[in-house]
Amino acid sequence: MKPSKRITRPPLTRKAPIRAYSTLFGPPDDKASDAASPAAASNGAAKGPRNGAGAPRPSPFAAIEQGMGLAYRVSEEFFGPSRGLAQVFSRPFAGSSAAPGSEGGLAQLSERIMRFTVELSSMWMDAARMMPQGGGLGAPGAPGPRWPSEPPRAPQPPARPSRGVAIQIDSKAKARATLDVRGPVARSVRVEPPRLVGGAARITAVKVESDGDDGPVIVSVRVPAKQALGTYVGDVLDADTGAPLGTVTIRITK
Amino acid sequence: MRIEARHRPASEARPADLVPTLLDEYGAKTKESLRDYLRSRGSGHLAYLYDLLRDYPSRGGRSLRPSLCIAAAKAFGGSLDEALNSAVALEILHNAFLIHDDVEDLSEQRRGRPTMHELHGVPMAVNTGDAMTVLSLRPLLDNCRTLGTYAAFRVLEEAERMGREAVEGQALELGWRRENAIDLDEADYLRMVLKKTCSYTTIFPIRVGAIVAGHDGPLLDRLGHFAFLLGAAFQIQDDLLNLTGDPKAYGKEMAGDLWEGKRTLMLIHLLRNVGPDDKAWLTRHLGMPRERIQPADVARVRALMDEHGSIEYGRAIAHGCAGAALHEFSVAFAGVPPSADRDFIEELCTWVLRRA
Repeated sequence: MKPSKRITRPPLTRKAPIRAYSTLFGPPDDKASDAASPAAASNGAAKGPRNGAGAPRPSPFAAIEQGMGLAYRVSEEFFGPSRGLAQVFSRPFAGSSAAPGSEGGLAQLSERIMRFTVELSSMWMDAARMMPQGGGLGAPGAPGPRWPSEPPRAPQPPARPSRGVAIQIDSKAKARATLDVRGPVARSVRVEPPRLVGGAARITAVKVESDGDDGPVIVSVRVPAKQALGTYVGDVLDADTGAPLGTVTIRITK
Repeated sequence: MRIEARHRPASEARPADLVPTLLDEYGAKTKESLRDYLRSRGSGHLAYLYDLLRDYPSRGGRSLRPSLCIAAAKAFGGSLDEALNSAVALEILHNAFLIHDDVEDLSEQRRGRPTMHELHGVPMAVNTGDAMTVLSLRPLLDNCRTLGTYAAFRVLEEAERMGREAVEGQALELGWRRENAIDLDEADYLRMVLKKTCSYTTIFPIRVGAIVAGHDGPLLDRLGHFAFLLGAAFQIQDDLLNLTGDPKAYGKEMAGDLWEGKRTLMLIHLLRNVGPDDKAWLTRHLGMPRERIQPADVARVRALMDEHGSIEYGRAIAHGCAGAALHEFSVAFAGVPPSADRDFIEELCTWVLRRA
């Protein structure tokens, strides 16, 4: 597409992003949008039938919007922005299925509402994608703790040069080796002989070699011909400190 | 990404009873292993402990949490055996929480029978809950044998975080009741639910399932989003069932949340929408100890909820959360091949709303 034909948005009247989810369905100064805001929807200000006391009752959709908006806001406080979600919007929702055998008014209504909410959710994320990088979906506020946050730890020793680690396996039987190590490893690595899960057998022919000072650490495992079938797990340790770095898993099958 | 799963062709229809079938299958495996962990290690007077330990787990229950953990592990390429210890630990801890919750809430019934403190007194019940909390550590330690030290350590990290979040959430709810908090909003409720319910009902099981299958990193955050939304839908529906469910199927005290003054989404909505006179009455009512509350008071709160659309509101929010969970599922499980376990997890998004 030629640059001159690119579709551009009209200039915004505002100077900063508006991150309140309630504005995603309409301009912030629109009264209808105000009605969809969390407090308004809960207060009964959204469009919809009036309740017995004469106050307007929010439409179910306003409440659904509100539920999603609040839930995403809280979720992002704990788990951070929903990175990578945009990729799904290019394909249709593959999602819910009606309760098989549960045909009936309530189930069908549920299903319809569920589909509606999923579509709304997609719209919501589309809108979020258009926000500036790093903009969350939630309303402004102090960020809460994130789930993956690390607990307080004792001071760590100075970092040493680190490098990658790889595994190779030599086996006549059908075998698959998996190396599960988080990040680069220390210079000196030790691998405990993998032990059979639920048994005592071990694979003892395990060697750790380095490819030069800066090259990867190679873990070589040789599986004897008569090795018992099953899953073997061995620890990958820092040879100096004994700290666990990960595991080697060998699955031997027929 | 290392993924090996029990593959199912995408064109193949999923069975109608997938959720109950897998809940039964994985629940049975979990309970079989759980019985070994709760087996008496002594004789004589130790029956004071071990007989009580087996009480709640023997009462049934759907085994949602362990089943979710096992299904997540299998969907992501792990095996039942690799997930079983974590699933058992979670089930033991869940029962410990139930015993303590029943004491804290002064509940009378659990799974259709009198609660443990009603049967054996508060001191014995609290001790049994403590014991189960401690005993839940053993299967996590046994993960070292089945998963290796590293993955076992990661599961333990998740367990520590889950336990901390759960007790923080419980403290929030208890504190609100003690202080007679009436200025809460829906976000407060959802934060409390994330900690108190979702942390160990959905977040821990799904994330740990992925960890035991060899995954870590950003995927766990995506699973966290999904798991929270699923858990929020589950909890709101649970609160709705307490008000509107079938008393025969429910197994707990109907309208118990109203007797206990629990700050549910429906109550928060009601407090925001009632007129000044009703609000003043509600505030006084919520500040009263349970023993002074009369059935007519509970009936009045329930009628106000109907009048102001609080039940309808709660149901709509639950549907919103479930719909968003389905969306997040399609993101977090995008690269996961079709399998019964993947289908099971997806089906849970609608099952949580359908259950009686």
